[in-house]
Amino acid sequence: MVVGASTVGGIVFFFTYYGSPKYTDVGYQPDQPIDYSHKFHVGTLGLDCRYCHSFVETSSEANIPATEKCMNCHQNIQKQSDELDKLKTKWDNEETTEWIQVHLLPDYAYFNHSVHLNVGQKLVDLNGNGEWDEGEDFEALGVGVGCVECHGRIDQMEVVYQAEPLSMSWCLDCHRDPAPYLRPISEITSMDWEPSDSWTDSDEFMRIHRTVEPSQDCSACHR
Amino acid sequence: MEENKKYWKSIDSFKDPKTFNEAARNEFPDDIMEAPDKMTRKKFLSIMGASIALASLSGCRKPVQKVVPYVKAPQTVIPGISNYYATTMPFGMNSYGVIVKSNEGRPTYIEGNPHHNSSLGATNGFVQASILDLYDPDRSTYIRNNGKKGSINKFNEKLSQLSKDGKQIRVISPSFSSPSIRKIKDLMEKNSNIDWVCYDRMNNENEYSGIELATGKKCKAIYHFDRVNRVVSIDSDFLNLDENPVYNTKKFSSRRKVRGVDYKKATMNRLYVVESNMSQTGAMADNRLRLKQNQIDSFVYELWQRFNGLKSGKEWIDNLYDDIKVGSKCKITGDVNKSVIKGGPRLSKESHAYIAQMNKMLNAFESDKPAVQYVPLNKRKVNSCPSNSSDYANLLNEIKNNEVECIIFLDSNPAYTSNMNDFKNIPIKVHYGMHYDETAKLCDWHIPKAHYLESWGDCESIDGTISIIQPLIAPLYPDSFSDLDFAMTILRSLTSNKGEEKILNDPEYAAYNLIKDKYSSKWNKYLYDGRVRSGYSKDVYLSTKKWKPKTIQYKSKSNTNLELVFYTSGNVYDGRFANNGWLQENPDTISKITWDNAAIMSVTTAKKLGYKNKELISIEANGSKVDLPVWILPGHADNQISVQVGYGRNFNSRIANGVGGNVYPLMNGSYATSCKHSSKGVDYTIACTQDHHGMNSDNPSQDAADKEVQSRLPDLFRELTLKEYRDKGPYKKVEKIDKNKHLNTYKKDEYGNLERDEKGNKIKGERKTLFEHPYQEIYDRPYSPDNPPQWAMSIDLNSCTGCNSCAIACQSENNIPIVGKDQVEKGREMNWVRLDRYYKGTDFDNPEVAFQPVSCMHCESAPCEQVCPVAATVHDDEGLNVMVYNRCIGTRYCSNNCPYKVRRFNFHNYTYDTPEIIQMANNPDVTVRFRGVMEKCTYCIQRIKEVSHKSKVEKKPVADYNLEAACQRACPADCVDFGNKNNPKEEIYKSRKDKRSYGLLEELNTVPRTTYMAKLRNPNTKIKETYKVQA
Repeated sequence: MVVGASTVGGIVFFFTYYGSPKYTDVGYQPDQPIDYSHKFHVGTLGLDCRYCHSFVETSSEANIPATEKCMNCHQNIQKQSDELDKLKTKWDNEETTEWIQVHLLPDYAYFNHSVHLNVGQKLVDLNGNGEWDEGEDFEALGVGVGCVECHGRIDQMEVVYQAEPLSMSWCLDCHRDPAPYLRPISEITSMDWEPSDSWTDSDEFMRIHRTVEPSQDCSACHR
Repeated sequence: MEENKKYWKSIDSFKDPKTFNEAARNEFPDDIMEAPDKMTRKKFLSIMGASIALASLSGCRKPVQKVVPYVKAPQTVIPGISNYYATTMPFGMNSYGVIVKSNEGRPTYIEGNPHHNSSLGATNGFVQASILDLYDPDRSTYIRNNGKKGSINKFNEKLSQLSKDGKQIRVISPSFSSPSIRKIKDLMEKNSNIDWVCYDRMNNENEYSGIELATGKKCKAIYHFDRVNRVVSIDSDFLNLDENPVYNTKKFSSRRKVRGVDYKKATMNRLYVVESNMSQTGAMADNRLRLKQNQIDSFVYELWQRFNGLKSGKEWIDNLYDDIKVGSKCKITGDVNKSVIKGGPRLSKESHAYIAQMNKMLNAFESDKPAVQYVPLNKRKVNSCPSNSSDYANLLNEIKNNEVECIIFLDSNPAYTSNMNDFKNIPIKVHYGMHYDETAKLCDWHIPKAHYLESWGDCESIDGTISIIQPLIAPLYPDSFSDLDFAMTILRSLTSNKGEEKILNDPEYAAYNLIKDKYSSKWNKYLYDGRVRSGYSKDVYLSTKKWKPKTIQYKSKSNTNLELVFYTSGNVYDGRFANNGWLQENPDTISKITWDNAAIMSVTTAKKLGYKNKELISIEANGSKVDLPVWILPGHADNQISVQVGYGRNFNSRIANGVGGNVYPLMNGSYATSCKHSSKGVDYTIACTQDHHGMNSDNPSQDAADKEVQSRLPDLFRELTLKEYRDKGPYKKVEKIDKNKHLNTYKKDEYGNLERDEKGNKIKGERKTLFEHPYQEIYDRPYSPDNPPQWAMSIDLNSCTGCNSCAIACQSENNIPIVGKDQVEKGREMNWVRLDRYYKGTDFDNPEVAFQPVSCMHCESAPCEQVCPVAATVHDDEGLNVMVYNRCIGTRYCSNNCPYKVRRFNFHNYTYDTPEIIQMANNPDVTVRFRGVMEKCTYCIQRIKEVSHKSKVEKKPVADYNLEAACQRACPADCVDFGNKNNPKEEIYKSRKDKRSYGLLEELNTVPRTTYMAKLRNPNTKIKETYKVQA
């Protein structure tokens, strides 16, 4: 009886732990066709994420840059290296680079980058009657989810790996209580921003707590 | 209930409701696990077992997916954001201006261009489905010479050689309307040895030559139905299979909008239809007269005599004339009547001449706002090339005399539509088309045609609007040629005298250069607008003063013999859409047959001939035979068999091959012919959807069930006449519904005991839903841009013509798979929008018809949600009934409990073997569903999300964006309103407040978010069917 129960318990544990994205997906670090170093470009050089992932603020996708974007700089600086030669060959032959996707959501989950960078807008109740009247308008709260919250310390990754489980329950953790994960829009791409006491004590932070209510409905991501 | 108000969906359900209910009650019939390819359950499990074992070995990680960026990113493409481009879909004498959605360079969805006259922002099913033709895996991919791979250079050499030798060369094409191709045709015909003939088997030539009889000039006619309030359609299906159906439907339905008007002042138009087969237009008729095809001409003649003062003494003629004549007034509204008569392609040219004269007497050509305009086809400013049978007859003569050395079939298919034996004497035959089809197989050369979304070109639509065809994608098969490119290629090869023109002497000069040079003045504007000019200049239209009538000799052809009459199909048209799965599986508007054509006849005729429904019969005419199943259609004329062309294709194809029977060989010149017929003694399986997904009763007693259904139907489809509406106001029956009937919500005191009034009766409590919804409070909040928008839809039954455009649009937008004939037969069609068609009355021969599009109602208190064991269908804060595919385990309880029967189950993995190229047509923002998953209308949640995300990024209220559901955008009759039900500024708010607005099965307290507006009919009550024909 006891053995049976513990066997069942063991099987349940086995699947809930070893079958979960926390175990299977975190740390996924495939070899890429070109050893591009985020650590060097972001960490050492200090390139902003949006220089390459340029449409992340407007589109659902954070686009992978075209080869042309790499060549914009590398025609002028650091013209020669083994890895760069691979890219140059592709550039000369007009061949594309097949990167392996690291952060891969299932096909039935739809994630939109742009809304997560533009979190929070609140109706300004000018006359304070608690209702919306003609002429009252939207105001942005000016906060967003930092890249680092989902992608980890990209600036320290020689080869990009998946830092967070990207599972549904992990998404919901934030959707249920978003304030701790939000930061001023000016700090969105910052990799080492930590909320200061002045930020967590500010009226702004309290207002975010009250007003940002991300959807917890299925339709938020599944369609 | 009154017998004459009885509603029914099929003759079976009318005659034998008990047995019918028994069958229809079973929502999921037996043999449920039988796979389409006869795969048994056992075999299925063994295969699945093996694949599970394999899957578990390969680890738990998701499969590797590659991200492939551009080498050089095009400026206009932002991954994840779709682009929209204006282009034009050529369609015979007309063309439709469209806007095409492109996802990273891949066209995925077509909608109408609001600035283009022939679409006015809407589409029909053909336009919607044409995107699937682009990704047709059966398209021809390479040039063939006698079946082997050939090259275009060799082909050109061959042509030049022929031309140099002075051989006679002929080109055959269907009718077209394009300034550039017209120019090439003219240039080609300057060579004495070349001739270009336009010919359609299903043509409208009788109308052109009829107008010629009346006016002295061959003309095409353009109708404007918004300028009249009396429309007489004689054998014309102008809402569906006419030259200009989308424009016609838009304009016609604009006179059927009574929304937002005080009901006492409501006005609407009246439609008279005289026809033999029940058409979509006939189903919309306020007064419909069914006449055998060859009797319709004598009807026209008698009406014409009445116009000329000869009283016929016949009720139909006299009352019709009194109602439409100049100066008559509407008995109900008091408005002065303006009328127009429209004739159809099967009428004789004499009839069309009479119709022209009658329209003149009705002042329909009045100069400031004409209801009909004639455009002479030989004018230099008119670029259409209509079908010309006499040119074609001459050509056949020339061939008989062995004068022709080479023939080029430009996108025409005589081996299918007529007889290839006519051409067998010609030494060199060339075929140009999308498929290696019946004709291509018999030709020496075959050149693949590019789809219009891959082509440069220009079009002139029937009303004279010129627009550019702009490619959305480079040709998928590099060997294929666009119409214009191929025409230019053969022009250059055939012309020896090159001259100055670039078209002739520059081999690099392609369609793009030609179009660009031609429209260079405002190139970007033309491309952006999708329109170069609107309509013809005023001097093109034929003035009534310039008419030079010829003598019209009335020839009576009227007889009572059995006749075979040919129609174009509402699904595959003349056969050009036969390989399109969406259209093949689309239920026919009236008969609701999918994947087949049938020999359609009336109840009386079937009885007289001794045929029962679905019996396979053999029809013989014009020396050919075809086997077709009988389909008995209420409202059809007696002594006539109607058949649809376009089926029975025979070429290497996944969809078209072997579907239905080819009736072209039975046709001999005209649209009607005598025929012989005999039974084959077997029944044929027809996949007809008319009785599927009925809102039936689950009452175990069959008598009670039938009674319940019959008492409910007039509430499901509500209609009243215009007169009743003006006199008494909206449909009142809803107030009789006891909203507490299904919920014993009587008032109780705090101890749970029933409260009683002074007389001791129970007191009815407040309306309550079965379970308290956590979001209920949000749903009824007054409008504020800060509150979640509450989505709702309203459908105006008064203007719905049942055209199926919404259903195809939904299929395209939401990646809905096709399932095949045997699955449809089991009731497993996947269309999220179901168009219910009801007959009304007790007379099989003259039923009234009613259309009702039904899809998920997004009930606020949804029965489906209450039975799902895994909460795979739940509500969100915007009032959407959300279907979560990844949670669904396929119990089908939800569908069982849905009173509207709008849920669709993936019995098999219908998308598993979809060829990669068809997958390119998929909408990337919608999940492709797997086996064992329930699905249904989502109110186009992907479009809602797109707008709500935009509103967040751009910091504007959601109401500032133009959000349209796919069905709403596609509807040519503007029946559908969609939006936030709580926002007083939106149309949907007004629609829901309209007096005619009601919900389906409201008494169940489901609180549906989709509501309907009752239909109004405007019949001329003086007319009963008493028209008798002079034999």
